[in-house]
Formats: sequence, structure tokens, C-alpha cells
Amino acid sequence: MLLVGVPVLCLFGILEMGKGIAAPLSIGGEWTVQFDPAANCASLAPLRQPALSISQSGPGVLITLNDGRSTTFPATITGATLTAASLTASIAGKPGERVLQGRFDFDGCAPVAFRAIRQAPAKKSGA
Amino acid sequence: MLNLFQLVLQIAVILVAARVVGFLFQKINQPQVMGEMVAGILLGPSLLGWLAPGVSAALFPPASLAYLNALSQVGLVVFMFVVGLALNPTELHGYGHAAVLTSHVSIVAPFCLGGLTALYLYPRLSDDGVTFTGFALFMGAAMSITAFPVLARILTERGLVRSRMGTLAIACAAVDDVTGWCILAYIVVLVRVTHASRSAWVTIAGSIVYVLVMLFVVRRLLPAFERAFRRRGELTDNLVAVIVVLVLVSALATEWLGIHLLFGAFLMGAIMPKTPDFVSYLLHKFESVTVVLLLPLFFAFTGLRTRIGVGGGSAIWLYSALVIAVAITGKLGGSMFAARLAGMPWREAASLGILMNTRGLMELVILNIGLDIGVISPAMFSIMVLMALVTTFMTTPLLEWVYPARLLKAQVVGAEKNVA
Repeated sequence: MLLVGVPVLCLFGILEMGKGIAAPLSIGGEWTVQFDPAANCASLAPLRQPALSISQSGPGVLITLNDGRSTTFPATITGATLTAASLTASIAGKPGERVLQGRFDFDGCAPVAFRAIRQAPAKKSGA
Repeated sequence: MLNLFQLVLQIAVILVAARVVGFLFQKINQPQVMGEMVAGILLGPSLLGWLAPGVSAALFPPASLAYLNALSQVGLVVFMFVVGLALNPTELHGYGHAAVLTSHVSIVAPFCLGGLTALYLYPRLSDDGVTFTGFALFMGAAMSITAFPVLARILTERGLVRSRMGTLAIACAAVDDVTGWCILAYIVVLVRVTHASRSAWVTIAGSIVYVLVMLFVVRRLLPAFERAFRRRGELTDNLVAVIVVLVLVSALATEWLGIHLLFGAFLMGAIMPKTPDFVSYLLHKFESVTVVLLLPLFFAFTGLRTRIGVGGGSAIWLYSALVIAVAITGKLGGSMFAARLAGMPWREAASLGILMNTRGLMELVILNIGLDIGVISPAMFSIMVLMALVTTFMTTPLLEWVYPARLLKAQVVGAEKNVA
């Protein structure tokens, strides 16, 4: 009884303690991206919607562009900011209604402003 | 669109890899299934995708994986029915204090340690789309599972099924499996309800009604199959088809209720009549195509989602080491300690702990569910897959070291003499 009861009580304590722990903002999933209509950048042409696919593990994410070549690059979440070598964005909204807003730095183009809306909140595959 | 040539090519490559690696693993005294699991990982981004990304992309383009997944899920439904079928509740009786204590502690200890580890890993490998409670409970359930089918296979291959330790391990693993699946069903409901419009009460009430119908209505109808088997010495193809349809309907019921289709398949197998020749006949009917053809597809699909050591840097290896250490301490240590307290000698208690630490493909099934419902991240999934591989791989050599085959055989012979 003791061998089972004590760990079960510990588990309840752990669950209570864990409620105060904050995890990174969730941005995993498929994203529909709206670019600044005034932007003039050849790199935008091959992009198809959903333009971004994000695989998230804690603050580390892998962003894949739907550009026909599946260009993938890593990024990091710090607070409410997503940062990568070619992208900076702020993360806003509740987990189910998350929005990314920022700018892309494509090679050979001036920074392009964008706003992205997540299609599905759940991460469905790591493949 | 379905590219049939590509799908058939994928299946052929997967089967060849599974058989070859399985054969090689048998050569080093590992169960065939361990090799098949590793073959799946080798075909994924952890090896093939890393060594030959072009070949990997051509052979397994992301768009084609949905078909592979569908086939592997069908295989899992049948496999879970087989697991439930092989589970015999009467085996749980008669092992007394040792079985009850060991099975309970072997669930609670790793569960608690898994929850404790979640405190550290939640902010590092999860996100705010998952509650801490869901993450911690899943970690606990994943840590506490024992691979009943792999365990049974290891015991059979080593001729230990009839030993005291073997029968005790089977009984404890069966209790662990049933408990683990019940806990997992609760977690799936917990996670899905937070993302779905359906009320939790609909799922909970529906699940209770479903289980009651299965136990008190469907279960009473199933002996008709056994009677038909007794009359003819076999089942007609039509009756086998009816059993398959019952499995699928049960799976669909649990999926519709918001738990998971695998629970329905498992329960259908668990309530089937348990006379040994009938069970053996059904296992023979269902096992071959599942184990030889469909399970390797599941291992490959799991491998394609696993990225061991890809990205994440050295921290991922640190987290992996932590998860493996916690899993072994909780399961092996907890089971061994409980068995010793129940009066087993140290050598037998340690061997029982080693056997209970086998996670095998049941762990992979649970992890895939966790990744599908979004309760664990891709990195957490990869770490847990690595843990499943390590804990399964270590079973045979560790068992041989702690309790050499000659001593075990002597115990089996002694037990048989006592029975005679």
C-alpha cells in the first residue's frame, strides 16, 4: 500500500507543481502566409499555400517552405519572438488562433513583411 | 494521388530491410522484432536520409507517406486484436502477493519518475499547446509500459515461459499493458477534448457504455465462434470475416468516441474466448500477415518520423540519456525492488526487473499515438523511440548476465519435476 500510495501522492504533487511551468508558445503546424502585396521579390513566386510548415520541439523549430524544394531552416522561439537567419516574427494570439507577423529576408530582395495564420493547431507528423 | 509503383516499391524495400536486419539481430541473440524495429529507424532520416538524402527523398517522398501510414494503421488494428487475444486474464490469478505488488509498483514507480522528468523537459521540449498535465501523464504512461508481445517472444525463445519468473513476468506485463492502455485512453480523451467541441462527458459516458456493452453483451455472443470451431475443427472464411468486421466495428466505435481505434481492437481481442486451441487457431490465422507484412510497415513509418541525433545539438543527447536513465530506474529498479520485497531472491527479482523493462513495439505504438494527437513533440518522440530501442535491446544480454541460461534451465527442470 505504501509502495503505491506514496508515489501516487507524489504524482499529484508533481502535477500541481507543473501547472506553474510555462512552455514556449506553440507554433507547430501548417501556416497560410500573406505577403506584403507591394513586395517585388522573385523568391515569392514558387511559394504555394500553406507556405510554411513548422515542426516544433520546445523553443527549437524547423521551418519548411512550400517552394517545391522544401527549403528547411532552423529557428528559435524566445518569449513571443521567432528568430531565424532569414526571418523575424512576433507570435500573437491564443494557441488555437495563433498569428505570426514579421519579415522575411530572401536572398536578393528587400525584407518582405508578412502575416501568417495557422491552419491546424496540432502537430500531426514529424516526418 | 496514389502512386502504386512507389507504394509497392516502398513495401518491398521495407520487407527486405526488416528481414535482413531481423536476421542479423537474431545472430546476436536479439529477438527478430528488435531487428525489424531498428530496420525501420535505418530507413528514416536518422540513417538513410542522412547518408543518402536523394535516395531517401525519392523512395519516401512526404506525400507518399499517408498511404504507408494507412496500411500500417490497419496492421496495428489487427495486431492489437492479436495482443488482446493472447492476453488471458486467468493467467493473472494464482501468482499471489509477488505478482500484485510487482505489477503495481512497476507501473507506479516509472509513472511517477516520468512525471518528475516532465517538470524538466516540459519547458524544453513541449509547448503551450499541450498542458503540463497531459504531457506529464503521457510521459508517465510511456515510461511504465511493458511490451507484452516482445516479452512473451523473448521468454519463448529462451525456453522460460514455464519458469516461475517467466510466468510471473507474463502476468505482470499483462496487468501493466491493461493498466497502461486504460491510462493512455484517459490521456487521449484529456488531450482531444481540449481541442474538440465534443464534451468530455459525452466521451466518458460513451466509453463506459461501450465497455459495458462489450463485456456484458458482445462477450456472451463470442462463444458461438468457439462452438463453430469445435464442430468443424476450424472456422469457415465467412466466420473469420465476421470476426474481422467485429474488430473493425469495435475499433471504429472507440475512434468515434474520441479515444483511439486501437483500444477497440485490443478490447475485442481481450474478450474473445480463451481456450488454448481456439486462441492458437486465431493467432495463426491473423498473426502471419500482420507480423510479416504489416508490422514492418509500422516500424518503417515510425522510423521515417524519427530523427535520432538530427538537429537539436548536444542537448538532445543529454535529454535522451536522462530519459533512458529514468526509464530504466523506474521500471527495472521498481519491479526488482518490489519483487525482492515480495520475497523473491535477488537474482530472480533482478531478472524480473530486466524483463519488465522491455518496452519494444508497444512503446512505439503509444509514442505514435502521442505524436499524432500532439501531446509530444517530434524531438520528444525521437528521444522516446531511442529509449524504447535501448531498453528492448538491453533485455537479452542483461538477462543472460544476471541469470545465465544454464541456471534458468535448471530452474525450469526443477519446477517440472515438482509438478510431476
